[in-house]
Amino acid sequence: MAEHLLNDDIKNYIKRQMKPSDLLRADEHLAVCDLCFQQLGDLQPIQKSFDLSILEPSPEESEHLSYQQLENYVDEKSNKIEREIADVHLQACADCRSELDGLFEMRKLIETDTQNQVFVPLATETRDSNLFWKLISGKYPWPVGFAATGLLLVGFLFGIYWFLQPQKSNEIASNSSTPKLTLPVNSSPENLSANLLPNINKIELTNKNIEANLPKSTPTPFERETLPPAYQAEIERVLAVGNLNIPHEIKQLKQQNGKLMGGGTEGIPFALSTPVGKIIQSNRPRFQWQALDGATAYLVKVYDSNFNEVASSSQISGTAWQINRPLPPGKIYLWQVTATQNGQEIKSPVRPAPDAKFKILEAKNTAELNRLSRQYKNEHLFLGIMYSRAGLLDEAEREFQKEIAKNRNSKPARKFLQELQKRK
Amino acid sequence: MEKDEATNEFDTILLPFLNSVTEKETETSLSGLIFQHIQPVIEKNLRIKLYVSLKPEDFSPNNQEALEIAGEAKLKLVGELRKLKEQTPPKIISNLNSYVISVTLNAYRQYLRDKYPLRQKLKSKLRYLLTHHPKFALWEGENKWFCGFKSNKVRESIRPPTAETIQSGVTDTVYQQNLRDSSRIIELLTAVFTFAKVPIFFNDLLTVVSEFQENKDQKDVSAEEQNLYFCQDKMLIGIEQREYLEKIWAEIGTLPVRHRLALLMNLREAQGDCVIRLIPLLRIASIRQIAEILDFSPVEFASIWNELPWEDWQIAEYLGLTRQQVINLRQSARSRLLRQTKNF
Repeated sequence: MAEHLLNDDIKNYIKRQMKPSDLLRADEHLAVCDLCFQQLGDLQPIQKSFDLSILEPSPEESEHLSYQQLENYVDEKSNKIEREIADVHLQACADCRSELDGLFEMRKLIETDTQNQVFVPLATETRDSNLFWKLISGKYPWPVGFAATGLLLVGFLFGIYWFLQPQKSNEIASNSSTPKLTLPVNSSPENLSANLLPNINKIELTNKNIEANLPKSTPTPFERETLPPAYQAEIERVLAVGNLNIPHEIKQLKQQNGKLMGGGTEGIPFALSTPVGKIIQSNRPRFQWQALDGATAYLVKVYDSNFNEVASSSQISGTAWQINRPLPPGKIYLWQVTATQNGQEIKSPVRPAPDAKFKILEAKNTAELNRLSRQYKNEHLFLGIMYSRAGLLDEAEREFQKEIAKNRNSKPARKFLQELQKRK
Repeated sequence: MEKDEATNEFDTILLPFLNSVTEKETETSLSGLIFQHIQPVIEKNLRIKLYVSLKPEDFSPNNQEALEIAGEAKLKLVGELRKLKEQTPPKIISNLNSYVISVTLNAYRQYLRDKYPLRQKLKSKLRYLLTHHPKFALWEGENKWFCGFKSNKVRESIRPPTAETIQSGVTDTVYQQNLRDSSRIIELLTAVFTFAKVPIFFNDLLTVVSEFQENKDQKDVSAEEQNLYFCQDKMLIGIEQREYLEKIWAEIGTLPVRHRLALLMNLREAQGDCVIRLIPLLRIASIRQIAEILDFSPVEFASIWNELPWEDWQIAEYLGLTRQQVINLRQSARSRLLRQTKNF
């Protein structure tokens, strides 16, 4: 132990008048020398009482995140520092988390709604009547108002005439809650399925070696509704080639994930189960891993692709953790679990094992898939192909299995299922 | 000396109070501050926010709530002003008017949050929906917020239907089309605006949607809920004091570095003393360990030790952030620690 502090040293320490080097020396000494520490206490007794209010926010500071902070977070407009501020607050504040969830829910609804191009006839009507109102309200000189009103009336009569004529438009306008489909001019409810079937039959005739053909005896898979035209080409291609179109990104995410999921190799003291090496839809994934013998607690940390921590669990005793707030979609994440075993921290995975990566599907793709799965909920083959295309292999597998359960003779579903199982 | 220097940066309105010597002088200058400067600002802001008279004889629920908020804000401000006299160095208030406005608005927001938590959440959701969906709009008209179809903004001058009229007008549609489900809120808004034909008050929309979604708050919120995490009268002594600080210290280690810095470098206890100084004095951590956790070299940290606590602008300068960002960092660190240590 270094020499004891002099009385003057202790006084200077209390008055905060020490040079940096002396202060560090005194600090080191006081940490270990009870005698000097006692002397310090005698010269400067620590306050007898201490107010818990040190953590209370000042009245001019808000206790919660503002709406603007939450909106920026949801719209991904927060910069790094703002996001960090919000993240730390959200970890502790259930009120703000719940408010944030509400905004994410709204964002999702808006995305789905705008992609569905909801047709609101009454809103259109309002727009017209709006103009009418302006014209008759005296905001314009009367000749202008009179002439324009006349034109509107002529337009209105023409509209009635047009409405009573047989429908020639290539748009089927549905009511507000029904998604609108844009179809070829010759489409009609009766020949919707025919639109698709000739193409599939053509494929069958021209690609004799392809197993992925629909037998002619198979009932048409899309009897009541047709597919959106944008997807018809994709379906034709997949059926013709006989291979699923799976994004390359999956390969990058996988990076020998067999090791991670199996455990027991270097850098993987215990295996992480899911999500590893996949694209997922949920922005609040549930993390699961295998138990480490003797571990009493686990801590999960989630990082973005730049290795910034974006979420972490508390110390938990189980082998699963549901993240408590949504992660921004469309990004790749890494995660790591730290187990506490006999007072020691053991992390998994660590180098040289590959990172445990997953990606959250882009919000617009999620919204589109949700829409398709609602609208075509019985078209499992179609949905399986769409899920594969988005990289959602578990969901795709489930749809192909459902298709096989529904139609045992479905060769394409069997073939695609095999392909998926090989790739997983 | 510190106090004299700090006084120079205070709003001059505060100087008679800060410089008062006798108890009588202090009380006289404090009541002058309250009646001439603080109360008028509180009342003006609450009148604008809540459209109330703030007359005690007006027994409308909104007015009574506003009076309660005004009382709460006044109480907080008096408490803060009294602290200024005791603190060394005192917290600087360079613009009393802005300070009173911030305190009042925070008291107002907190009051609403405590009393109507569900309504507050719904309000945020509607605000987001109306400002992000391409067919809706939210805008400020004369003294009130309006909302409706974007294409209808021009018709604001027409008297909008009341919440009751809208509710009874769309009830059939809502029930027939099952629009009460929260996932169909866009269709619900479409139905409401279509029925109204003109823009409506945002507050009326809030009422209608919360009625349909049965998203209503209970009228009374227990006092316990209003201040769940903090008991102001609790004073810690001796071993408790050490344990409490130890717990805070351990939790600080779990925060990101910028949060640690914003909190610790400015953390003061009631008398204005720097809490960071207590940490080595209680042998919770050495100065070297504090430096490490704040990402300073020991020598660098020792060289600023005598200056602590830092003001927000100093922390901002050090971190390359704005002062407001430092305040936000500290707030977020505080709220996290407050909740983590609530069971102490």
